[in-house]
Amino acid sequence: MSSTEQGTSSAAPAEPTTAPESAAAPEVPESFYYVHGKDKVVHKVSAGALQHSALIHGMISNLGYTEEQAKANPFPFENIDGDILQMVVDWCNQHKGKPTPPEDTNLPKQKEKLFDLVLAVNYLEIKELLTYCCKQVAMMVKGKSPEEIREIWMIPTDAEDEAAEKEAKKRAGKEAAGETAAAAGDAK
Amino acid sequence: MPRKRFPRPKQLTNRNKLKKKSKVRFPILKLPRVVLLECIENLDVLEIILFSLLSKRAKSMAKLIHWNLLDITFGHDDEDPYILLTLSSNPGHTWVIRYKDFYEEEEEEESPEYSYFKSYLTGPQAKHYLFLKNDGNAIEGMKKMLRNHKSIG
Repeated sequence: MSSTEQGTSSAAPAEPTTAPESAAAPEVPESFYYVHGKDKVVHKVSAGALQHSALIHGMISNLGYTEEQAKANPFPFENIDGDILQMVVDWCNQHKGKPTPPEDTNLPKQKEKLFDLVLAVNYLEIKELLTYCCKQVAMMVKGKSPEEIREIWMIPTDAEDEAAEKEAKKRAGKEAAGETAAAAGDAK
Repeated sequence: MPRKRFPRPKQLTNRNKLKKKSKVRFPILKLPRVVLLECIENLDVLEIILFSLLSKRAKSMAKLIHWNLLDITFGHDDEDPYILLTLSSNPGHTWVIRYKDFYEEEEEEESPEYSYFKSYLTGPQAKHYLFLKNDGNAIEGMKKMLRNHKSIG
């Protein structure tokens, strides 16, 4: 299977007698796969674009789907929001078959969605996009004071952590007590 | 002998504007550990130190970063104490945490509750400063800082 979809125009000048279709004959049509997120909206993505995701690439090579099978069985990513998956798919399409430049201007800008994007990118194992996202996260606190860092990165104080831990323990204790009571009720 | 005044960074005078601007929140401690570490590794040495001082959990994360801490030096200059750090992986850089007193007129103009960064290039050597407020208990602060560096370095 060839992954070179472009670049045929620059290598085409010779053989004027043959028709252009026959000159470009060796090119294999690109295969497409389908993915959907939580919103069930199906995105059609080329195999070249999906190469960026180690997870999906692994799934494709293991499953050996034909185009029809791929269409009938889109890869489900129920833990990824539809808009986040759309961002990831767009990025993969923009960077199909080429490495990411150090200063990538085609990346998602919505910082409100950065957290979900980082989780999705980590799950899908898109290394280059993850590296860029991590840089963006670090940039959020560049030159900020400790209190600003605490606020932006939502870092609780030790006292808040301890209180949350106590609360979690209390809740777990209550849940365990509820379960044993329910089990005792069932036994009767 | 009159004390030398540090240059005032622009960032300081625009501090209130900056505070209003930054509304985006990012719960970094909820990230998977590997991702969190990759984020922190993009920070500067002094920023990692500030991060590690925020809480025990933050410190435990900062501990996982591999540093090649070469030297920690204590000193004081014009009665302002400082800690100097050098890393074997970055021989051209020195990081200085400096506790600074504030002049009365400065305190009238600005809130003294701040810390700020500044870098200087002297020949091939770059010095990165983190100025912290000397609230009269700088030695205790430095001890805490040293314990912190020893555990995360």
